Amino acid sequence: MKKNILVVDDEFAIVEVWKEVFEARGYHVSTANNGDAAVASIEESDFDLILTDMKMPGSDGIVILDHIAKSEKNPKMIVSSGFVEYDNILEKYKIDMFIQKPFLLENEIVNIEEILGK
Amino acid sequence: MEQTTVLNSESITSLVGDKLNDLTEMIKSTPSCLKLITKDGLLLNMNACGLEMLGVESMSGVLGASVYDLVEESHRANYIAFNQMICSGKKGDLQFEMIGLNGIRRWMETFATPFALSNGEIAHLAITNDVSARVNGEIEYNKQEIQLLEESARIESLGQFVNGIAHEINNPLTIISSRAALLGIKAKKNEIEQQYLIDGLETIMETVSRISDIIGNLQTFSTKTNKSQKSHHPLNDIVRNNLSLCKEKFKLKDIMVDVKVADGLEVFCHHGLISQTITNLLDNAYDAIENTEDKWIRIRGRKNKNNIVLTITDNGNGISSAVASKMLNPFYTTKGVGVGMGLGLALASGTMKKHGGRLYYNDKSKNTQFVLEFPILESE
Repeated sequence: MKKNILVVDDEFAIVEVWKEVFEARGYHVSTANNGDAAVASIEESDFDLILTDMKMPGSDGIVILDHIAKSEKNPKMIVSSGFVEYDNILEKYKIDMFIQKPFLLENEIVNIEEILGK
Repeated sequence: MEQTTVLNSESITSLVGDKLNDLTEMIKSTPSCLKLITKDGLLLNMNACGLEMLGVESMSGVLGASVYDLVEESHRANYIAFNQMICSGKKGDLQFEMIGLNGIRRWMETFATPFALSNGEIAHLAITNDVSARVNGEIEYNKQEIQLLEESARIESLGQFVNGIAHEINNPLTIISSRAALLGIKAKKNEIEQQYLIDGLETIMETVSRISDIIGNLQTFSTKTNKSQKSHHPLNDIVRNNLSLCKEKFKLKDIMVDVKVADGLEVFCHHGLISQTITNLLDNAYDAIENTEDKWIRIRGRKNKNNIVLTITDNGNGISSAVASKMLNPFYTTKGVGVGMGLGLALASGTMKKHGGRLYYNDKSKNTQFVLEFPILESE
């Protein structure tokens, strides 16, 4: 069965890349452009991995992290951000990886698939 | 066992002679000023040391004169109140600046006590020392400390500014890097179609342009102030450059920004410093309203008869008079520990003064409004 990934970022061009990369590798990809939209998707479906940006208009990545922390669901969580200060988010929430933007796509694909494979 | 001299009035007299009983000699020789003044500040008596500090040789000419006239103007009200307190029967001490009749300024520290005159009136008896060396040393130290703190505040502001810019640029860099990587992956597998390649390269070029605009706007913040680099700048351009650098931040918090600056308005200024001033006000507005409902910032620019006015208003409900009276002071802040040093508004106010204008908080506005006034000047 195909694994299910949720990609969350307000930059459409970034979401586009992740969707293309993961679908080419046989994953099913859903997308959202802010925290609230992501939470709505999470409530409807089960995801094996959530890859989310932190700073987004309206509601941000913290909304997603808080929701997951309180729910029974246990997806792999990967957080990315252009803000350096978010790298300490690993301490507060259960996060499998933090990706600092900008990143090398090929390296991160390998890292993400390793996390999904666990 | 060593013999000690027993001190009694006889042995003491032999040691010091009659001078012991003549306090006048002691008072003459003391290195402190000793004086007696009335409740109205009139000089009744002063020792030689005090007269020397005044710059006179004897009491004639100063007997009955007002000592208030010798106290530096900004200290005078305090000194008068101090004198009233002593003459009401209380002891006290005070530090003040005096200007002698010879024009010499001194910092004085006085210890005073009530003294009953023969008519029952209470006068002011004081020992006063010249503490100029100590106080001037402290003033110099404080000035250096303030300079260092201002420099730290600038560096800290710069740090926050750079952090914000890093975020503005990191997203477009991510787009370029990941799109280019994807094109590379597909090209290696010979899976790339021409239209896909064209679309991908267009995305990259547009995003490069986006970063280039941000960098271009950053140059407006260049603050090489070794030479005076003032010139006329369209106010609209300054405002829009500022907003382009923080539009992502405002967008993230759904803050509506509405700008109306009259066409043709130009201000004679140092572009970088004024840009920093506006950034400072926008940052404060952001901090104040980011967690409120219906967030907005309104920027208006217009020309009055004698000046050009730029107002920055946010949806806040104004600032309390207690805070407003202090917020332009250095190091005053209402933000939490570790969030800035409270120098932003002081620096902004200083910048406007250097431009012959001013920054003030408009307490007549029902929201929170800061006003920048620029004089209308010819170029130098």
